[in-house]
Amino acid sequence: MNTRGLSMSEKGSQNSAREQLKESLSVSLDGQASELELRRVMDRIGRDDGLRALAGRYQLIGETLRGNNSKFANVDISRGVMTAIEQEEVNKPCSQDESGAGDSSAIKAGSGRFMEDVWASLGKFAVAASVAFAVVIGVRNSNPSPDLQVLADNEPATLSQPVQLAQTGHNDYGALGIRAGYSAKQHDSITPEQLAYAQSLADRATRERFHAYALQHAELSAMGSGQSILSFARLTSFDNQ
Amino acid sequence: MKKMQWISRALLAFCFFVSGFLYAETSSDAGYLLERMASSSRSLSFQGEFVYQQGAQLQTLSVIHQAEDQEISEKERITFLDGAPREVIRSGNELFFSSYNEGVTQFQHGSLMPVINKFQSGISERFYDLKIVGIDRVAGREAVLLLVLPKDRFRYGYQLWLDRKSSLLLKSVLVDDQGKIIERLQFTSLRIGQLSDDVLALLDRKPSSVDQTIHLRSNPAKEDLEKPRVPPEWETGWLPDGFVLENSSIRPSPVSQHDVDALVFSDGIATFSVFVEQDDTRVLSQASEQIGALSAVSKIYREGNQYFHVTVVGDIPLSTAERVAVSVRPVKIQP
Repeated sequence: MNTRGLSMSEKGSQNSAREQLKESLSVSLDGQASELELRRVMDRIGRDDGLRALAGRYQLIGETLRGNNSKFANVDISRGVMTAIEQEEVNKPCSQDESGAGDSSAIKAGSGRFMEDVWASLGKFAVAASVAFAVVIGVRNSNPSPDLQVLADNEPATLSQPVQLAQTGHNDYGALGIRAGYSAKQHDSITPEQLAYAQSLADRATRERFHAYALQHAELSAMGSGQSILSFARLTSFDNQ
Repeated sequence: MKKMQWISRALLAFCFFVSGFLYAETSSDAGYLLERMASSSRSLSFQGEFVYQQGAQLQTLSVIHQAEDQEISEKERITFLDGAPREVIRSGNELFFSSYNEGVTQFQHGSLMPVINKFQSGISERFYDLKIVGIDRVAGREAVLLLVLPKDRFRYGYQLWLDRKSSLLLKSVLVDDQGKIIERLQFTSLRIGQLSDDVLALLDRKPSSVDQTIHLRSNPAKEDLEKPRVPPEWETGWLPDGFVLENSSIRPSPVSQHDVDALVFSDGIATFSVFVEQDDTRVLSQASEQIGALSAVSKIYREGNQYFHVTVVGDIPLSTAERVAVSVRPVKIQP
């Protein structure tokens, strides 16, 4: 696998991707992010100093706007993420990355002691992800209005297992022969970074499709039905990229 | 003295009239009200502003609607008043969606206009319990509060506030099977009746340039059997009871070079669309997402070396959308 070629194309798309991430970050700390978005933010937050700092700022702004009634008002997540990563680096200098998605849900249920145990068994990217996840969950649950609880209480959207892809062939996203997927076990030959990159590409493509089809659906369901106001008002749902 | 008598008599007559009206309304069928809601939202001219809330988001929108007439076709303009400017202009068979970020998209339906029967009394009652529960006030108008509760878990429930005089929708609250509020739409001001000339002029102001035109080849599912029609190449293996195919069309994909098969289904209250598109990116992932009332599910259908994205979008619970999405398959050609 040509890793060098890949990392160059990854850099090329990083700037625009980063802008998107900033927005997603803001949304996710507002407790409005979907699973898909959350995942993208989590994937990157651990690897980017700027984003970590931004996460802290957004969280503070959010707390202020919500009137400081969150239990997490004094938690600086950027510091939390950083210390977690530093500890991890001392303990396990070259730990292998595991998929963090399933574990993070376990973490939010567990006690502090349990969290430490789990952290020790995870790679640093996963630690960053789980901290961010826990904080986001916290902010969501502290939402004061019962009406707005809907998002927090809904079952999170599921991200399903990958489909095997063709090994060759060119595509619009510059990923050659990368198999997109979530389960690290199936993809021993590719690095976690490649996997995450492929995943972010696939997620972005899916998101674009959802966004575009939401408009198509609004048009389909509104034409002649007489209920167009509701159909079009709903477009805002998939508008926040 | 005589005048007094006249007033009391008039008052008496008025009371009779009002009580008669009230009686008629409480005993009238909730289904009739829903039918009337759908018809008056087309046959009346109105303008107003409304808010739309979904999760923690609140948006303000405005609407101008021109009723269908012998001379003029139905026209509508919906403007998003918050955030990035966005606007929908509907005029007869044309629809423009202009977005500050994404330019102008135009949808063109040849001669055929898909009509989705929004509500049919007698059919929808099999899947929803309808109840008139009271009188309320919304946007300064008297409103009849109607409950539309699903009989199974494949669809959402609604609380609808309909204008007492016209049955226009004044407020709509969407609830899931736990009774939690998913979205809210509510008029803050509404004026029914003839639109003034400068408002009408707004309806005729179409975007000067169009960035993307989508020509639709549309097949109505029910009528027009004489017309030559291309049957849809895809079908659903499973549908919740009551949902019927309203329309199928082939349209250029908004995200790739391929054509998309689009099928739209409705049970008279809820609507969802199924899109099938050939994949050429080789970046495949299956995902499902629920934002407010809209559920979106993306699955991959594989046939030999070809991959297809199956996307289901609609105001149905995510589990229903998932189940529909996995059941989508190519239509078997009859021997």
